[in-house]
Amino acid sequence: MVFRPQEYFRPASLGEAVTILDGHGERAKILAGGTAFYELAKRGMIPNVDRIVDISKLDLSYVREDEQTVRVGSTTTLAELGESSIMERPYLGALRDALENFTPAQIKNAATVGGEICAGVPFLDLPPILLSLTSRVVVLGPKGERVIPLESFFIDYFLQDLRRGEFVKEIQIPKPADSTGSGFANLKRNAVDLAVLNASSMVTLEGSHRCVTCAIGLGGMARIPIRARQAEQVFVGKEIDDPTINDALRSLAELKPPSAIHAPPDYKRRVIRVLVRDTLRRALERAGGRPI
Amino acid sequence: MTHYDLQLKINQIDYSLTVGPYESLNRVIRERLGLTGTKKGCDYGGCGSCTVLVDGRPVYSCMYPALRAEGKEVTTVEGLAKGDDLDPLQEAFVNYGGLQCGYCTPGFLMSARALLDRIAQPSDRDIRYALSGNLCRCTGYQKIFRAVKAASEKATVGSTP
Repeated sequence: MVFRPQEYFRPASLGEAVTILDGHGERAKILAGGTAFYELAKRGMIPNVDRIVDISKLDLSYVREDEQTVRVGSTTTLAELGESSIMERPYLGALRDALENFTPAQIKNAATVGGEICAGVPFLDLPPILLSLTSRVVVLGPKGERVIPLESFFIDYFLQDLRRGEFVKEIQIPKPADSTGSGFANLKRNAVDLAVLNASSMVTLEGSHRCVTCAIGLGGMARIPIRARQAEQVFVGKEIDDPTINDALRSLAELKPPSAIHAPPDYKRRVIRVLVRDTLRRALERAGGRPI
Repeated sequence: MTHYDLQLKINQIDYSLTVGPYESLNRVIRERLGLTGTKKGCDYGGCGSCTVLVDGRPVYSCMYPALRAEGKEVTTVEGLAKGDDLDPLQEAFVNYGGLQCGYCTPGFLMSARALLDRIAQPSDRDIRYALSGNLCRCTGYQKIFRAVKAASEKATVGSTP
């Protein structure tokens, strides 16, 4: 399908971006890295959009931190995030797992962190990772800023908690306690394909094995990226070892993932257990726990 | 429909033109500026034949709005050779049979150039990783891989005093 937008806005300030988005409503769509935007546009999936709002001039490409929080600007590319010095932190191991292996380079250099959570498809790599890191989203709009948990940001396919005139300014990752590690794994058909399933785990330990907190993010297992709350609860206050992992993984059998052409629900339920186990092992090792 | 003024810098040459909101960098490079070395294949980020460098990084020019390239340095395959002297990568592609029909070649060259500019002595994995966003339906990739490896080794030998 031929995509013929009528106008291309390059706002120079956050306020100008909000005014444009608010003024044009559903006819306007944010262009961040463009990698999802053009694919959706050329497939005819955003037929009402004829105004492009390019937010690349808003100085939202950054990775900053203070004592409590890592802040990632929404137009930071996946390449820029992967090159950031904070990637060495054990609690961000899941991000490192994903970004070191992210292909192809052409997408990595263009796709943005904000775009990953706003593209509205449930199998991209960053959303489950950011869920497991208990991230928050900073949304800017006509009424000012809202800070919302990433978990409640996802509503459905192609639908997020964004109201008229709003867009994502920043993603915040709270810094966890010491002895925290995270890990990521996904299932792809080949090196450059999008994932069929992805999983990410973060664990905070007390001593060498006892779990204080655990967060697990899953992609491809529902219409949106989700937390595996039941599985997480199994670990809290317990040793993370093979029996508890098996207990936790049993709860994943109740998930009802949408069927994919090369991965029916039963297959997804079997494979996600393998992926989650793998991410828990990685997280545990990075948190300084005894290997299992 | 609104059109916009755009100052573009491609292969160290400044261009001044007016473009529409729908025009990709690929379309402007090929159809407006006549730099047809850069190809258009799938037209949505799957094949890599449109790869150009923006500020030294490979991107798919089919998914890159022309208006976003303002103020950035764009390099296309035409920018590789210095006059009649081919880039060492181009020579290696010739010497190692790294092309047959040649349609994907400009994209592969740009991805490989970005790699060698960033890592002088890439590992085998680095090379495969850097080329993973480019498809070739003729060569089976091995000859392209060997060409890039040979170019990197030659560059390393050449830089040794």
